[in-house]
Amino acid sequence: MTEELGEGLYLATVGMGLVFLTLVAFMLILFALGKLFPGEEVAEDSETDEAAAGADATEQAGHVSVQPVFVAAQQPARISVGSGDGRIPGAKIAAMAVAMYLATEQGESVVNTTAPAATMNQFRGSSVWAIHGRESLRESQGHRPQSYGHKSHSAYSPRDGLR
Amino acid sequence: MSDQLLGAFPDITVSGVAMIVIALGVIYLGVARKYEPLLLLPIGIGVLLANLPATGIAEDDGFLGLLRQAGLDNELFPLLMFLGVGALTDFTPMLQKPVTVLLGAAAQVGIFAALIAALLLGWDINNAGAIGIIGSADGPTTIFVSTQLADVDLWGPIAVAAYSYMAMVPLIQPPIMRLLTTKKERLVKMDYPSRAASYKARVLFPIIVIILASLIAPEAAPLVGMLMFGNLLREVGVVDRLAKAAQNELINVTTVFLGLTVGSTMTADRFLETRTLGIFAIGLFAFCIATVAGVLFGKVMYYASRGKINPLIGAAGVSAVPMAARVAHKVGRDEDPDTWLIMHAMGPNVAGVLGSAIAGGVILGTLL
Repeated sequence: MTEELGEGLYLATVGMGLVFLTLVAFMLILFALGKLFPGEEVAEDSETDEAAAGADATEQAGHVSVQPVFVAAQQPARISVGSGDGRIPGAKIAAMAVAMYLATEQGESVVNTTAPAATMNQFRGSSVWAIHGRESLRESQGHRPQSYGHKSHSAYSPRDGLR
Repeated sequence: MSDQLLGAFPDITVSGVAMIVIALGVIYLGVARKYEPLLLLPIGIGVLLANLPATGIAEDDGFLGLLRQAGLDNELFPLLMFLGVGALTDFTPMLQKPVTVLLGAAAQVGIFAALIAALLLGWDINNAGAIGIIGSADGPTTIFVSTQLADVDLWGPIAVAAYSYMAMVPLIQPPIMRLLTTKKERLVKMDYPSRAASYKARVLFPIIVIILASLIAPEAAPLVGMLMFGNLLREVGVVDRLAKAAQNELINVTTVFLGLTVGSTMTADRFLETRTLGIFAIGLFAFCIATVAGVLFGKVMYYASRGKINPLIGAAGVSAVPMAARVAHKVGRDEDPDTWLIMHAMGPNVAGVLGSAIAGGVILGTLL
């Protein structure tokens, strides 16, 4: 018993040490990869165009997919909502539609998920809709498939098969 | 003649009925309460089939016995499942905020605390290691480690405990998170990174992880290798068919087989023992300690960063993906609806998956 307890304490110490060591090494590698291959600073205008193009292509193919918006939503948006010439970019409309759909599906009030314009600017480097779309889509991309009858937003549809 | 008319009814035993009730309970949790339904439903049916009298389904030559030998005894099913998990996992939040990786490491304390607790309760070291891995909050890792270390009669209870507590993360974690943090800490709004993760970084990362993790903990190579291979399929962008197959067909088929075979190991003679209760108690302890360690390390990072990191995301280091990240986000939003932590919490969450695979490899490497 005492011997096994000693072995267990040794295993715990060495094990935690190795886990930390390994993940610290991963962290350093991630920093290095970030320096070596810096990602682009994505401006909302270009990203929304891309997303709109993606959404259009998806629409033409007859698919209902949130993936293009998700790609855009993953990138930090850098403009404040409501700025510009009053026109709303296509991807923003798509993100709003997705957010409203998901909020409705989850039984939430869309109003509750919408921050007033005054608070939107508090989100530095990101729009509320982008964040909301990001969160909703993140939830729909979980690792554990949903129960039967719960819409999962995956490419698989029990009725239509693989799209 | 009369025996034939009675079928298997004369073979019904009290313990068999108890196991059928437990099977129905597991099915109820999955279907009615939606606790990890895709795992608990097949497990429940596996328990039910294995405990129906005179069927022989779970014997070595029965179909569940054959499935068990084909995929569980040799750890094939959990590895295939990890391939699918990798294909579903987005490491971008971790790539964008590498420092959150440390939170994924801190939460692995739960594994080793549970191991010590199991030893103190009288389990031998191999079974204690298998029970401790429940704290990884990762189904495939738990099954992969327990099938190599634990007695066969513990496989079922360990898997059921792991999946049950993973489903109950929204109940287990919030009180601990609120207890260990101040309102000021919970209100911290974190900055989003200004740059996206580049394609090269997303493709190189899984390859580097496979090499490095396999060198540090060779026993973790199957788990980490499958996880990162799945992620590479997703990120590389030229094998969409394979990525989709791993994300859908492969993981779904494996889930059915894994659930059925794990359930079939839970027969009355193996499951109805007082020590089964001990496994569930230690499993709960492991989840609590993992949450405590993650949040406390989150507080350390909060002070080290001068208030820029919300300690709530430390709880997401418990690698129940994405449940733990969603819980961190929700607790933050409960405090202030304008707090959005989900993407920040996904960093420690996916780092926790890596950390638990490494921890499992270390335990296997030491005890095998």
